[in-house]
Amino acid sequence: MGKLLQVNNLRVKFPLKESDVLAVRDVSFWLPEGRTLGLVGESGCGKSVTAYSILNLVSPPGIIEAGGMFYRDKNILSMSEDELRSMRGKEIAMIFQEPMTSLNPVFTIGSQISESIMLHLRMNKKDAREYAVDMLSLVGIPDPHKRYDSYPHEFSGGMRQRVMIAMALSASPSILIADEPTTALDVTIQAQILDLLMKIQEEREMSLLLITHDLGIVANIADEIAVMYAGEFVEYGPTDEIFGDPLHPYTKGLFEAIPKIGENAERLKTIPGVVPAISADPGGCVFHPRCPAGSDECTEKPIPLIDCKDGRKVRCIKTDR
Amino acid sequence: MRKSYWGSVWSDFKRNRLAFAGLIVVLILFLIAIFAPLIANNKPYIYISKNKTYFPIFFDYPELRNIDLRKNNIKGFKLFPPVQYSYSEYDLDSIVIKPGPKHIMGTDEQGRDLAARMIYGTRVSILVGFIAVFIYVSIGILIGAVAGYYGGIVDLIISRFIEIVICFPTFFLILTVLALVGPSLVNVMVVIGITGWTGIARIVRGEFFKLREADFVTASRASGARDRRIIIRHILPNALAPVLVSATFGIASTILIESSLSFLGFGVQPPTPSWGDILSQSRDFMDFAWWLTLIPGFAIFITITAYNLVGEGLQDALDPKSVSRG
Repeated sequence: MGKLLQVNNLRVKFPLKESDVLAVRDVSFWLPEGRTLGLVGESGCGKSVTAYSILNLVSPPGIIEAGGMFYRDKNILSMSEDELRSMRGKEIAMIFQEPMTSLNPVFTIGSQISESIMLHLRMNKKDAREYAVDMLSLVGIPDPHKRYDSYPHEFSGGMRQRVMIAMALSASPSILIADEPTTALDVTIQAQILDLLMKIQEEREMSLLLITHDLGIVANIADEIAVMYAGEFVEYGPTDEIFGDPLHPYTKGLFEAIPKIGENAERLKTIPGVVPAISADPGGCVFHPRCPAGSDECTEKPIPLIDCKDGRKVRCIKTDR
Repeated sequence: MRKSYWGSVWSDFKRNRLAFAGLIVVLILFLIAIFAPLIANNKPYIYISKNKTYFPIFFDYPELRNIDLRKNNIKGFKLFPPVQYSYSEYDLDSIVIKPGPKHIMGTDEQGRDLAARMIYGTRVSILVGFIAVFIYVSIGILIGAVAGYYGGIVDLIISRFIEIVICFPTFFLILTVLALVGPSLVNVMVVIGITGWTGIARIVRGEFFKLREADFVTASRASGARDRRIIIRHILPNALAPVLVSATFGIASTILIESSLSFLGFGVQPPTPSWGDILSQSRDFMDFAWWLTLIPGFAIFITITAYNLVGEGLQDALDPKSVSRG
């Protein structure tokens, strides 16, 4: 199992007037070929910024301050603009949260898929059209020949997300980054889109980086999970292990916050407190103010990601492993 | 039903009756401008004499050059345009004639047929309106796109520059420049063109600012598209709607500026007729020759109103909040 993508100690900073914001700090992971990594966390914890960093597309004023990112042993951060462009879409493709706005409203969906095909596969217009129709039928768009000439507003959200997937897959990338691909869709459509992603991933032996705040989604799809909190990985390991025995108090809190059928609870369980503004360096554990197990010890120095015996990692000094 | 974006804009536009009427007026003015020599001409379309068939409007015949085919003593079949006069034809026997069967809009103080002059004046209005606006829309899009897409220091410099240009009183700037370079049709168009772009530049800058963060632009960047492609294909077409509205209103105000310039004598030079120029020359006879001021004034009014109605109709049709599309 080769390391298709490796990210080492990524730090992304947004310099603001008052103080700098570290949206991503010290994030390291690797994505093996044909596997799925789920990146889980609340809104604003740095998941999407991590994803954009991989394509070197952090929007200004954000800058990738430190770290290394390697795609097939090529350093993404030292690539030229041309190399980056030929990597984006062709090697690493991405789909987005909002299918309603991710398509250009003034062009047909077919021409938008063809655009990417002509760019990366150097096909002529006619071949690209045929190929695009194939892609549309692959992602389950009925009557793809006709739908090729439809405009985005003629599609529902789920269908548009399928179009986005078709577009992302058109150049046969080896990695697909899905940034909350189902958040904007209703539950039944969510399941269809996830099934589609899983099916395609299996067929094409593609690696998937799935970003979500929904634990239920990663449980089904991801081989490994990284739980993010305030720009840091707080827990990282195989899905089964983490679901079976969460180590970090934050992860535990997330699981407890899922309402269970049959449980006779008056109120839904939540994690007390709010995600801290990530500008301030807390000087210790970032989760400590909300942590049920927190003590003075936790505030003394930054907590490193501690290796556990079975290949898991956790950023908590209270863990017993 | 399958409709493109512009297709649905069109169907919304059609529903607005006033705007549609405005569009028809604009189209009629266009046709008049294009076919002016076929509507007002002192030569017939076709003249069949005893031994030969002539098409005097379309071809030049040396043997007919000094003959006025309108005279009754010239025999043969003659088919004339509706207005049988040319715009520069002086007839000192018939000065300041009221509108009547011979001259449907009357004549001016030099005996020129007003209808012929009005018809040719349409050409000047349309030409100035469209070319000047085309020039300034092009400049405005270019400058606004650069400022909006790149932002930062580039935007700062361009925005300050736009503000400086806005501070100039445009009309007097145009007058000054025309006084220096000399009045002519081309100069009027160019000067209006290079002074009028600021509004468009601001609109385009704003749209680019908004659209460069749009999801489909990010998506296109993430699929490896170049800046040029993103600008031309993904941002520009989506930024064009407000530009189109502004340009339509711009044509109206440009026609008004041209009329004002001609009125002041800085516009199109005689013998080329322009509505403003006709108005200006006939203001001395206003008390007895009402048609000489009323007709060109009315033409300017109708034209400006028509363009403004089209502009408003477009504005409504392009506003996604006011329509049910999709």
